[in-house]
Amino acid sequence: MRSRRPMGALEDQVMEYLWSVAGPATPAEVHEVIAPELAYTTVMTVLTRLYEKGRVTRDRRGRAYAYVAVGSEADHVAEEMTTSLFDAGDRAAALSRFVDSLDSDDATVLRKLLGRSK
Amino acid sequence: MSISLILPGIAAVLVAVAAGFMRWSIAPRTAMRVLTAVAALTSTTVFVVAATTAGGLVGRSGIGLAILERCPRLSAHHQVGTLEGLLSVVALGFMVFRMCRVVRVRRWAVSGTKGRHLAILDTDEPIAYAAPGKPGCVVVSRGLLRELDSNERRVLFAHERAHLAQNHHRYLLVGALAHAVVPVLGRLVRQIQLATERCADEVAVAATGGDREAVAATIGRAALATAAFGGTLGAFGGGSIPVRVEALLGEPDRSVVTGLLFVAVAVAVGALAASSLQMHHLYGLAAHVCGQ
Repeated sequence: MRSRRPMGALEDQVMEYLWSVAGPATPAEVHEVIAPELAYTTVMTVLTRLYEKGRVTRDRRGRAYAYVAVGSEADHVAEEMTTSLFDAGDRAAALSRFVDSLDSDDATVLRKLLGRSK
Repeated sequence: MSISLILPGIAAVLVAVAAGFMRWSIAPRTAMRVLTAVAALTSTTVFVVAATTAGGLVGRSGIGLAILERCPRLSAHHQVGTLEGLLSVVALGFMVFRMCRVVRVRRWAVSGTKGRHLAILDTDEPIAYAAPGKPGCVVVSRGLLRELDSNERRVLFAHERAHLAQNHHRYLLVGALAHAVVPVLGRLVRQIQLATERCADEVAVAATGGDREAVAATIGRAALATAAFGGTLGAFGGGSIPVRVEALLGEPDRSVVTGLLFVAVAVAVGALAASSLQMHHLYGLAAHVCGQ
């Protein structure tokens, strides 16, 4: 389902995401996370505009750029995405978490498995 | 209470419990669907047996006898003793209470995410999960976002979106309800959870260019970060992460014997459930209700 978002709202959401991530984010990532229903070029345009406005900086990473937010969250107005759901951990436990907790044996096994593959 | 009613039901439960202990190296989507069906059949059988026995007790009361006069086909074919009737009523109450709690907890778990596609939690604790709804919402904490790099975050979101796109919450809900009715099905239900996680892992692999090691590494990083944070995320299902990582990195371990055993378990539980539910009686009841 295509949702029509005003450009301003999309810019705010991208900025909020970049502040949350506090590190470099590629356009592919921003596209997939924030607005997979929109065209990739739309997200690219938003990032380019934010760069021109000085709200993000960018770094070349191979063929694409990686974008980083400038300034701190205190400046931003839209609080659409950030939330402080109480007992988020318990909610996660009731649904399906990305990863379960590990006991120390699991952690050892895991490090070995991952060490082998790299 | 007739032995022919209870025994197949008990056998179905035993097979379902045993199935929870097996390491099923089966395609995850198949495992998810079949194991959920096994859990559903087993728990439905137990629930119906309890309900009909309790109903048999009610049928001996004044109101019950009045109802039976009007609809004689509803009568139980086996005499229900007072003790077993009362035990069934208690058991039924216990099951219904636990089922209601499952539904309540799930409603609470998705509250606050209505109408959003993405919710970022204002905490350093590594948390990520998919909250089903219209639209489904991916909930992720700042702590986890900052722990991962750009590609790893793409893996994370592809995985969570897969849960929503493939409606894994339905299978998980059926599993949770089955566990509410038959508490010994815990391990089987964790197998269902593991199967849904593996399904989402496979979708994440496809969505991020087929790099299985990258997805395995992301899961591992997130898991170790969670362990390092030492958050109180609950400890159910621990032990599934190494299985997931191995499934991503290793060769698919598909043996014919395991496959046949899997089919045998499904068929056995289906047959036992049908026998216990006495399908011909249910059919008769349905025919009566539909006015034949």
